[in-house]
Amino acid sequence: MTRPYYRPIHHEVEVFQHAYGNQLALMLKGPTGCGKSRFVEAMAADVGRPLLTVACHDDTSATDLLGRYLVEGGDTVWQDGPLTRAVREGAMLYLDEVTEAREDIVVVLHSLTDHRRQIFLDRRNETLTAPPEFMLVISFNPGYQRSLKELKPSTRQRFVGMSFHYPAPPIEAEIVAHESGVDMAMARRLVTFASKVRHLQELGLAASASTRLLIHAGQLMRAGMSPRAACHVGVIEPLTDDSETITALQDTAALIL
Amino acid sequence: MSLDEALFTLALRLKRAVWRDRAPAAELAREVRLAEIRAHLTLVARALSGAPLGIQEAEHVGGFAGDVLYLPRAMSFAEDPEANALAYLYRVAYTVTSRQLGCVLSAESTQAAELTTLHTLLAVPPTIEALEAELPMTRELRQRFFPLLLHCRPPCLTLHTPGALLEAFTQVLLGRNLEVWHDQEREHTAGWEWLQRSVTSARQGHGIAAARALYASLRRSAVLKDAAPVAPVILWGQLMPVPPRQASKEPGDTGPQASLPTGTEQHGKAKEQVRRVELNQQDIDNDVLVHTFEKVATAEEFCGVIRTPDGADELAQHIEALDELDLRDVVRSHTQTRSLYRADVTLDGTVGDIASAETSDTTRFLYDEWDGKARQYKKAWCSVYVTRPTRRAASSHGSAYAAAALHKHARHVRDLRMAFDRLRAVRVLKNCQPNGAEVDIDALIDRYATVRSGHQPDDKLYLARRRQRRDLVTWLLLDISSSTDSWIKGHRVLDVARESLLVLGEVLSSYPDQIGMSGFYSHTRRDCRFIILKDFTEPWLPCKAVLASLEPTGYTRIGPAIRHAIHLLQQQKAPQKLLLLISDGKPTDYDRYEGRYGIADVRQAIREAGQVRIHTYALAVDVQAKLYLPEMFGAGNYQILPHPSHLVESLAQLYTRLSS
Repeated sequence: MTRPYYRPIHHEVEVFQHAYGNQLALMLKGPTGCGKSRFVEAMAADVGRPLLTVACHDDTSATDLLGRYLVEGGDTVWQDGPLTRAVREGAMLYLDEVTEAREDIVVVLHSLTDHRRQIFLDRRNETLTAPPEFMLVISFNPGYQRSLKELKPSTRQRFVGMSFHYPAPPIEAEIVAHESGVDMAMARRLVTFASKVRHLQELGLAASASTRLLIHAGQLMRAGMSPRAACHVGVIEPLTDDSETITALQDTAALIL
Repeated sequence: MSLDEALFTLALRLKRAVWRDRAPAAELAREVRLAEIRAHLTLVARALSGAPLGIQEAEHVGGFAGDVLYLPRAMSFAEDPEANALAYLYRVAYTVTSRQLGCVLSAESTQAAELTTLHTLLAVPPTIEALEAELPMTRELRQRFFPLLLHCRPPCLTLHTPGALLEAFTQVLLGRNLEVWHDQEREHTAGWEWLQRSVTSARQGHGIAAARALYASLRRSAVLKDAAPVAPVILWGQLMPVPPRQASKEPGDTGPQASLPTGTEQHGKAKEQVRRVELNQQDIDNDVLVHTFEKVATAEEFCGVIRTPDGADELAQHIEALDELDLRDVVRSHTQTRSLYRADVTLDGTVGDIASAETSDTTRFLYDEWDGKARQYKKAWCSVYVTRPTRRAASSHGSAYAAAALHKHARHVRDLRMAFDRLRAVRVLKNCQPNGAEVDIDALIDRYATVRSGHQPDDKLYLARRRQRRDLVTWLLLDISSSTDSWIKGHRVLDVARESLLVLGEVLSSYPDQIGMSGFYSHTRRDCRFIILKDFTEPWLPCKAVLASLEPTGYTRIGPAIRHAIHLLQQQKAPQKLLLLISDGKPTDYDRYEGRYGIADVRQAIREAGQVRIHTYALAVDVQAKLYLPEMFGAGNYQILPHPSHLVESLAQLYTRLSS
């Protein structure tokens, strides 16, 4: 497996390696599309462990993570959940948007993230201890308030925390150019546009333009769309439904692209 | 009105009618007015600058002062409305860049018109350079618009007056070749040299420093002293001084209630650079007894005297005369206003204070207020008086009102009940129950598997419809300040807000949800009122009638009201708490709880709510609210309703969504 592209911004790679070496669980915070998942993929490739990713939703329960018995013909078969599998194999487990999951998963996470590093499968009466290679990474978006959910302090304090932000403009341009294939000059303009949109986000008027959206727009341009049209469908429309904000952003894009 | 006055008015109107129709129809057809695109340009300006900029109409070409951009009333020089809208866009980008570069006038530079023009012109090349580095497409717009503007400039053949020199300088900056005036070299050597020097120092970008020297030599270089004013370029505007910030003491106040506006309201012309004037009581007492216009030759010479307002409502008769006057001094007074002559101005002075005799009341709460500029709390700054409307007064009239309103919204009540029931029906279906109406297939399979694998099975195999316990308490905060007396699209804001509270209260009364309601208004920090309409535990029935007794009054000091609601919610045990604000969203109070200060305080109050895990949400009817509501409440935590009649539905939907 080739290592996915990841451009380090601060000390995050170093932090990851220390956390991994000391068997500490990692908590990543940051807005959508800023590179959290990509970071985890790259790090898993670096340490040479397989990566299991679970996108949590409001019905994700402890059973889903641990595993269950399935009926197969007249027999029952135990099926490991992703968490159990990761612990057995010494893989990396990445729980994306962990705040969305049901509250009962904390029971599992707690014993796994303290000194015990164990999970207990009550159905099988089996206790598994995580090998040193196993690592748990969770992520969530603190600014995202669709439902009134957040992690409890008792859960949070079992993790090493890192905040992700959108990279500084020169680095972001580099990333956009690399991922989408547009030239650096165009990538720089896209990033300038994104910084303007983020101004509005600070004032609460629009969602933030993520690096991911810029890459989408870049890919559309690479495929032959005009820059303004690519920006419109690739960045502006996904951000907001408010027609006035859309036209204002289109005008802003027109000044830059 | 006497006969001569009437005759004069008639003559004036006639003259105006003749003059006004001069604007050619073609120009009107391609004209774009600021009013049409102001909201949209505000968003662009904010995106470009990252600052909470506002846009106001300028008297002439405008500029910027502090956080306000002043733009011309209309744009018509380009070939069609679309191009003119683009020209506005260019102008916004230009002015934002100029603001970022910090191009402002010093106070003494405003004295001479030529110095102002010179400063403005010298700032043009650096601004354009910065603009095109940041926003590359403005180069195309410049190449398209500047020739059009150049075409409109008056012809300028010689360089013998200061006016002509500045005009030539303007035209060079707009793209005319400097060599056009080369033949003047022999005739007006000094003028030609001045022009060359100005252009060089403008292009080298150290224009601001050179302005003084160029101004000094401007008059020397010209042969004639005639100084015809040079028309400013509409795409550049003019530089303005930084708005002054002056601290002031308010005069002793006996009754803020008395100065609340009543009576007629008329819209006046826009004014930029308003000055605040402090008066002391002695000046007011000593005012000239009689002072007629005959003593001064023209309105321009009339510098104003201090008069005690007589309070009569004759605004309609005087509206034309007022439009002619250059009104730009503002005085705070405590005399009751009978008429409102409204103009868009921004007064962002420091926060004043009033010394008012406090009424003693047992249910007084003191709250801190956040001073955004000083970044600290003013301890125990606001007094919130918690009152309850008198039940007796409300009884019969109120019940009739409630019945009528509920009848009017019968459909909403029914729909909302159904929505709630549906919501519950979905939610209460619980799996893995020890008993219930249906079999839980998943649990059954699980049980089978567990038994087969030789383990102790679980007996919870049923699906049950249960009423889910929802631990949500909600406080509804209703703004009942004077601004809710305004009418939007044929509905009075307060009426609609009241009705939506009635509908929501009516529906929720048959469910176990805990809900509290209150109205709020204020007269300065010493008198913030918090009127409890319904407490959490109170039965709904008697509360209905109370709603009718609400009348618009006072100002909107949102901060203390939110803080008191937080206080009430914190006493509740439920894990989820919700605070809903229905308001026009603009914080205002008599003692300068306005502008940035007010917004900063509300924002801080919302942050405080977040710290104690109370979720806040705002609903506003005013379209203008879009410009400040997001900043106070954060993205996704507010909703602006295009039409007041949507409030009933939106409130219901919102509650359903947040409580599910």
